[in-house]
Amino acid sequence: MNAPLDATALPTASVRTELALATLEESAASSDRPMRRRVMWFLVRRITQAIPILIMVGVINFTLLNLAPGDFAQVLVGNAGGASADYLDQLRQSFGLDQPLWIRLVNYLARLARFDLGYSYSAHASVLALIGQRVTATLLLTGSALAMAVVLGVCGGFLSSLRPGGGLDRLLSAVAVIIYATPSFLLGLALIILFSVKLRWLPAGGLFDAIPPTTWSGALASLLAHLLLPAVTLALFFASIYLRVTRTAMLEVRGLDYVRTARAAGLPPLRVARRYVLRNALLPVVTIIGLQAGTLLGGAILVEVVFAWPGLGRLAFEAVFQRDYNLLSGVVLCGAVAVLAVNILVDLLYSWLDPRIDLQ
Amino acid sequence: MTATVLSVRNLRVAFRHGSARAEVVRGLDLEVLAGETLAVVGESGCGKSISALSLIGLLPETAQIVAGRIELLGRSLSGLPEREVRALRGDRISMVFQDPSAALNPTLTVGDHLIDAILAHRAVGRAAARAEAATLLEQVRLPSSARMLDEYPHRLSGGMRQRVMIAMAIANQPDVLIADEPTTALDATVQHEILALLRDIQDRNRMAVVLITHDLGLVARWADRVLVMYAGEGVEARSASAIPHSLLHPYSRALVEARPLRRAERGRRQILRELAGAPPLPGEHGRGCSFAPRCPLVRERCERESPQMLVAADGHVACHAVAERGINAEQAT
Repeated sequence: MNAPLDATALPTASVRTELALATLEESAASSDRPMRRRVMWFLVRRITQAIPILIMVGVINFTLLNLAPGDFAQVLVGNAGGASADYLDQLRQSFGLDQPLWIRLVNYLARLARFDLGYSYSAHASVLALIGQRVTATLLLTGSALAMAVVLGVCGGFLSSLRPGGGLDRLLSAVAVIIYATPSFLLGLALIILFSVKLRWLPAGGLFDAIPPTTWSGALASLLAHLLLPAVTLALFFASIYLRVTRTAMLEVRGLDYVRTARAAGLPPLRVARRYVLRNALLPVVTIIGLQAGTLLGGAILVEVVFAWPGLGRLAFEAVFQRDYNLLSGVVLCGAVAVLAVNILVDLLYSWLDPRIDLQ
Repeated sequence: MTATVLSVRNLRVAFRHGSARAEVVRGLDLEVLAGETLAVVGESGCGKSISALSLIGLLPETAQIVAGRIELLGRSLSGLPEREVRALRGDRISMVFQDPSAALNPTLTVGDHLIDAILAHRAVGRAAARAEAATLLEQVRLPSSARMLDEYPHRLSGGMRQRVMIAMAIANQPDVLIADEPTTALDATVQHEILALLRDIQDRNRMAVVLITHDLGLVARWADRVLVMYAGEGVEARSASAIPHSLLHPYSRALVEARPLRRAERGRRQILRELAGAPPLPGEHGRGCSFAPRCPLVRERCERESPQMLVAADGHVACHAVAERGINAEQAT
């Protein structure tokens, strides 16, 4: 091997093989259309996979609700101030409550398959219609809270990680721990006392002002004013989690080889932090968002109750006290659909953030 | 007379841990001339990579330069604000790292990497930078197609990734390229191609290369000069033609003997001779020569007094035994 290296003889055989392989793959990847088709197939597959999960949720839902003592007939009789045992039996018969559990389960699942969530006897409306009325408010609340939490958490984590152990890092970490440890209803009440009662800046609850605004812009302003406190209350808890996750991920990614490469190329520090560190540190944050979609809905129940926000959470809360099983199971099922949908979206987001993750 | 592009005088780098301090580079001198290749060799942990990182100002946070002077193109880097060091890094001096599989951002395309490297130092438009990225691909003999620019690193082979790394490093035609074991992570045939490519670029751009390696055979074939490092110090600085048989320092000779032999050479020496022991741990250097505990030529003076670099043959050697035997010692053995 003492012959001098011959630079002109390149590209040699193995480079040519690499290139040939690369062109072979060309037909399989690239161009937009197959990508769109891949996303479509991914969605079809995931939605198909979601169906058995929803059936399981339905079964568990039904079984759990029927394990609880008491039934709807008893509630009706109780509200009416009492009745004879005969009348109670008659009521049970008319609602089909006298049939064996498994027949009622099969009936229930059959109705679900027809998108029939049943009738709410306490609100005297179909469950689907009730959910339809409330779902926008909850989506608005959870959506804006999630957006706020992601922005606050990721920005906070980013700033914390720039100087780990520095003053800003310690301050943000302390604030995050305090918020994380505070129950959200307590935080909500504190915010109401401060901003609605003492300062009188923001309304304490509801969706709109008591006197309905007449213009579109007035309605929007009123809606945003009402949204701010509940959204912040719900967002802060999650922001504190995202802050910790972002900070940890940033510090981990910062030590990786490709960050050193970027610095060796002389990229400005902020560009390195944003493009080479943050982008990759977002992956665990996205994972957490998917995992906590259910927790977010659960948190929304408390916040909706505290702020009299007319959403699904309060609907579920009312259904529990009315023993309105149809309504309650409808809301729970709706929550399950939302969690599944968020997780499908998170997986899509994942493959967009990290090209190594294939939708196959 | 060729100009000096990079010169290092008495460089000392230390790691801090609480109040403890461990020097890992202890008074390194080196000089690189325009267009030449200086090889830095030595076993693992002798301070090669840390010296290289300190040259481009990328030492880990726990390490710092405690003394010495680094001059790039006649300009001292010591005391220069980070912003100005950054302006030189990737522009006048750049670096290629060991493991190309982890050295590229998995979420960015090949083109993104190259365009970032170009835009870090020049105020050109994105489209112009992209066009230039394509010609960089051509220079490292990758297809200069739009498809290659839009490819993600995980879809490339190790050799192709290292080519992208080289393309990034030469994006602004630096005067000095530091290559830290650029081929260690690659298989043998790809190694050969990458080195040929580097050499070709070096000739074309008249770029100086600091090659950090374990491979003495590679040094003999490629480098102009060689610097042997031991325990954070340079112990022998010679012309690369001194390899393998004219090296003087007992450590350099031990490195040569520890090299696996090709069939043609086997007659001369039967076994692969291993150098017993390990280098001193950082912070545990004695007063004398750090190689003394492992040295076959050790004498009483070596334990007392650290040897200075003295002129010997076509370079410098730091060894009492060599100094005592005189410059022609190499012929005696």
